[in-house]
Amino acid sequence: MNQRSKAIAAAAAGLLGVLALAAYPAAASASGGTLVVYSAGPAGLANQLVAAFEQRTGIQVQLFQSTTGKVLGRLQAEKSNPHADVVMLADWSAGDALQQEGMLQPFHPTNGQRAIWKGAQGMYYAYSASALGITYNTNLVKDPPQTWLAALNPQWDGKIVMPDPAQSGSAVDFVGGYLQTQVLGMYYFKDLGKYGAVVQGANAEALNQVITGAKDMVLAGVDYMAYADIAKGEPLGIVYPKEGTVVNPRPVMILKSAHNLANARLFEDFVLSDAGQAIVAKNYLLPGAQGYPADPRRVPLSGIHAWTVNWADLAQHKASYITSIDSALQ
Amino acid sequence: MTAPSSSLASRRGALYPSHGTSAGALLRSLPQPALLLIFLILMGAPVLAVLAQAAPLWDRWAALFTPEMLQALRNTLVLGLLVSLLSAALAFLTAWAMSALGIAQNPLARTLSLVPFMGPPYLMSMGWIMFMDPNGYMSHLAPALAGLSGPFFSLWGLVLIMALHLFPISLIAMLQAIETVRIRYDPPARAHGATLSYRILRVWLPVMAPGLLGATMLVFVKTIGEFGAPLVFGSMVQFPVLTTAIYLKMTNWPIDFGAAAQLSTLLLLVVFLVWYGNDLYQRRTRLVQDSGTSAHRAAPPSLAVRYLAALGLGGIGLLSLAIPMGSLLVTSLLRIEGDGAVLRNLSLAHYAAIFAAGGVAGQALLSSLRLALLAATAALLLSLALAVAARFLPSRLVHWTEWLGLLPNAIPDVLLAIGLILFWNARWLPFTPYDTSGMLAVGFVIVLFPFCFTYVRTALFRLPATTWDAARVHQGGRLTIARRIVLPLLAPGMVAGWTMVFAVAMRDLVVPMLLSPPNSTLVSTYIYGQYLQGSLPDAAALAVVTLLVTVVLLAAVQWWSLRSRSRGAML
Repeated sequence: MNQRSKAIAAAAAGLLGVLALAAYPAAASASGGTLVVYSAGPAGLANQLVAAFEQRTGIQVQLFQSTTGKVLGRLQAEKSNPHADVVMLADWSAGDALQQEGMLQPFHPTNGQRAIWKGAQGMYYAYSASALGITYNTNLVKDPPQTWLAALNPQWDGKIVMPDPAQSGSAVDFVGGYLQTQVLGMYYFKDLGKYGAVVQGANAEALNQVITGAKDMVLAGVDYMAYADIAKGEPLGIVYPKEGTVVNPRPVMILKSAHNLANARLFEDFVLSDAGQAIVAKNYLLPGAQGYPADPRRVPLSGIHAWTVNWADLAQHKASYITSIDSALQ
Repeated sequence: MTAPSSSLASRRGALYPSHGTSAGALLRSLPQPALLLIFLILMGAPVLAVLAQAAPLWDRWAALFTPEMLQALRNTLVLGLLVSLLSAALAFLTAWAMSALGIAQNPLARTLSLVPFMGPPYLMSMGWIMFMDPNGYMSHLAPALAGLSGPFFSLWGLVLIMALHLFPISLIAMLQAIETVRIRYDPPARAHGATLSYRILRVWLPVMAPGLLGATMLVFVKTIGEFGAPLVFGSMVQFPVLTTAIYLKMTNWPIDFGAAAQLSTLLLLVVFLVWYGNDLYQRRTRLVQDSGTSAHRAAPPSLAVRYLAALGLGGIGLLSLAIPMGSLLVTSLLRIEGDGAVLRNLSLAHYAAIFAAGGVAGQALLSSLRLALLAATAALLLSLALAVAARFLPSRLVHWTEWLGLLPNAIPDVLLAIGLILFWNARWLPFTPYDTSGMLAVGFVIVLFPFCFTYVRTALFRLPATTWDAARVHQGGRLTIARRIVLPLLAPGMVAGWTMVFAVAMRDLVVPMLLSPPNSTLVSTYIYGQYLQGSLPDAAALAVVTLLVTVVLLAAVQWWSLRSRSRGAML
């Protein structure tokens, strides 16, 4: 009579055992955690920074590697019981957002003095930056547009793609920066729509369309991804338009709830040091430290006309940018 | 799949008395609450944690119904309907062809037919995009079809991609229905001279409708809860749906779980209405179910019909596997993606990179394998426990537990994952798998349990009570009966359920994307990382390797289960 019940109980017990088994090895390794870093891509960069830091200091780093949006989502979900010490994001306004939430604590690293971009009260620093440009397929385009306006040309009717602002933070930055600095900016995007330009996917989808030749060029593509592909031999070129463009600093910050404060400070100092900046440069990003040279295969910050962007204002209008651009560029 | 309530009601009366009632009443009443507790913790708690975020925001409900959200809701319904219809048609065609070719019961054929569901949806979408692009692989292979490229990049392309991905879900139910009709009901109708239209209207449709509707409903629910394909392909054709809206609320600053949860309650409401409607329908139309041990054989169809069936099967294989996976395979072989598919540009460099490159990709493959094995086994044990309870100890508690178990089918995985963080990261918990790979295993089990449970439950409920009544006449002990008779008969269902969980856990992205502990990379997160900011050929190469490993492993399991079954038959 009871054997079935016993069988069920045994199955349940077995299940618990299996789950406990799953948790065991990871739990054992988690106990010695000495620094927890949450980082937005690119994956190679964060891995290399962490590896170099571990080698230098002997501190064991636990790295959660994702995108800006997902790191922010995880931080929010963990709010009642935070785990991360250091956070590295790909978007300057995200640093501001975390500060507004009161989630950060100030720190003035020695190497912070050389940082080109600093957040208010030493809450966050840019360890690197990316710029937006026109990325084109060199097999298809011999004479790329040198200005944003020059892209409005019947010759590229239906051949231009832009990352979708709804999915790509850098595309929102571009729209915001353009509207803030250029007169009658909204008409530019409407005209783009008339010439058959579309928004499609995030940066990767848009860039991939140009690599495969489905489209001629990406408007407002992230430059370091293009440089990395060029280095691999992909037929790509990049132009920084003369009117100027958005340069988006990528912030590193320490959470107020950091458990390993001393190590977190060491890490923040490290990413701004020459050794950290060398890794940044190697990944084709613009270094965040003054005077540290960019990779010779890319255009340095001095060669890019960077707009002065009001990031707080941009963050406020994000939602309206997304809807208006998506309706203009369908 | 039928809703638990309908079939429960019909079974309880017949079975319950045969067990006697007296001895060990207390011990017998223990497993049900214990099971309910397990499922409350596993499924109930994260859902409640999410709903708790939505509840305090009553005043914001009106603000939720913006024109964009209503548009997203409408798009969701339209997409769900179209995908369910198309995938029902695909499943019907596949099942009919398999039945006509006499391979409907072949476990290997069944496993193969599930492969389209094993590919990662976002990469399958990517494969289609690369194939159909104006300058894509199709324009090289079949320039005459280039005109299809334009119309493909629309809602119809999305519907096609999703239906081709999801139709295997309803295939097993469809196969069962078709075999039953072809073997049981059609021959007599034919023998009595029924016309084709009469047979379709009065035999095929009535017999197949319940199973068909149940399976189609599951596809509908999965479609409106899916977000991989809508994110990758839907964004290219500007077709926002609820899941993408939810996803954006959770990953775009200001992050707003409350609003995401509110949107999900909309989704939940739709799902609930659909389930409820199906339940009503299933209650009204009760059909004598096939006992599963049919000795009949339908006469083999004519040669022409079999050719037609093979052609249809080939066509579906081409669309659901050859094109998207072929695109990925070709991409994974390109030395330089932009130079296209020409012979001198082909290399195995990206495969070499998988197994070198500091071993990250290789490590990811191993971690994924370990977790998928674990999750599949745990889900199977859990399914067995619940199915046995539902069959032999039916009660209101067990019924509720079943609903809890099926709940993850009704909630988008993204939201479940957030719920898991909210619940398992709570400070007051004495023990938590959070921040360990155990969390991933728990996540996989929760998200995939409904698949496994459905298979095991269906298999168990299809066994007629006569099976063990006969054994008991021969004085078989209960455990002996369970081990020697019930378990072997249950094996195909168990293998199917285990297989499904394993295959999907190997490639699932949503759970690891949000729940991965630091320092852990799985196949899916590696592929997604490479795809977002790395090299697409590298991503494609690992996808191909993973799919191969999965298929080989599943074939081995099928072979092993077949062998052990045939050996069992000999003993």
